Amino acid sequence: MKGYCLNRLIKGIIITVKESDFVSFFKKYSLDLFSFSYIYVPDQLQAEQVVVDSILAVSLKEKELIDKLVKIPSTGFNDAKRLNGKLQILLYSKVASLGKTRSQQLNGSVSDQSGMKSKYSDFYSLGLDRREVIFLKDSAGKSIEDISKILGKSEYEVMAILAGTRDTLVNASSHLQGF
Amino acid sequence: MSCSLQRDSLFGVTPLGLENSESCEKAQFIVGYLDASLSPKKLTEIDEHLKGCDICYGQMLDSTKKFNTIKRSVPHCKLKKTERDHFLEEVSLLSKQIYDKSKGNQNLVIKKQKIEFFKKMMSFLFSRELVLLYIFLGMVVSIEFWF
Repeated sequence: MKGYCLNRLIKGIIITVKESDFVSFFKKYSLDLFSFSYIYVPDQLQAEQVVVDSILAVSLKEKELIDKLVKIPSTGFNDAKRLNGKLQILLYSKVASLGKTRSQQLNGSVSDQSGMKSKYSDFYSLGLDRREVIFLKDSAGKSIEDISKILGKSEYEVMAILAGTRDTLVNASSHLQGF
Repeated sequence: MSCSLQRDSLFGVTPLGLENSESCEKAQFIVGYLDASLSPKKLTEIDEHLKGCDICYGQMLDSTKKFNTIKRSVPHCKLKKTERDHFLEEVSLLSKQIYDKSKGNQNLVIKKQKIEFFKKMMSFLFSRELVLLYIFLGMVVSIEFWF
């Protein structure tokens, strides 16, 4: 009975996450998200806007998840880590969908002020579906499982795209360097 | 998870262009080894195997070269310090708003729960049975008082 009462009491305690911790979570991932959105729209302001829009969209759509992250029940600390991972995947996923839409809207009218497009011409000559997979794997270091969740593709599809794209990039590079 | 693609080289080429008779059966795991997509057990196994197998070691060197080429080909755009600070400031303002909104929602939920609890208590305290009990007790007390 004593144990039961104590358990009920602990379950009832809810710990509020500090505002600074919550903010630092978004700050931590926003720079990576910016790099990801830059592969769709190679323009600084546009890429920043895609990230901000994605954060806003996810926070509006996933209210329950955000609430759970702000107020964690004392028995659910293990859940918090899982929820962080889930939120991260949702943010990447939103950047991917918004980035694609923005890229289509701009339809190549973005000027190459930073020189990234000319510097990474092989990469930017790839299609969007190949760019996103190779970026997430070889630059962001995501697992195949996470990439399939982010892009809504099967793991086999992701692996097939990855193999083809790696080949293309290696061949393009060796062709230029002559090895 | 089993997939033929996972077992083959992710570059989709014959390892180092070696003849099949020359290739080692463990060579198919080299890309996974460099990619950190193998299980810890397999990783240790390939680590040990590499010390004694020239074919696999050669393929590892070749694949590392290819990986470096790929990493150089994939951009990882970084902002300048002032631009980065400005962007992070924008993100932190937005996340503060999200935090406040969520906290506000939580407070609203707690307020609603308190009102519900108060309503339940009142309906219990003024239920028919309890009111009758109060009257009965009142009568008993008044009888005791007068007599």
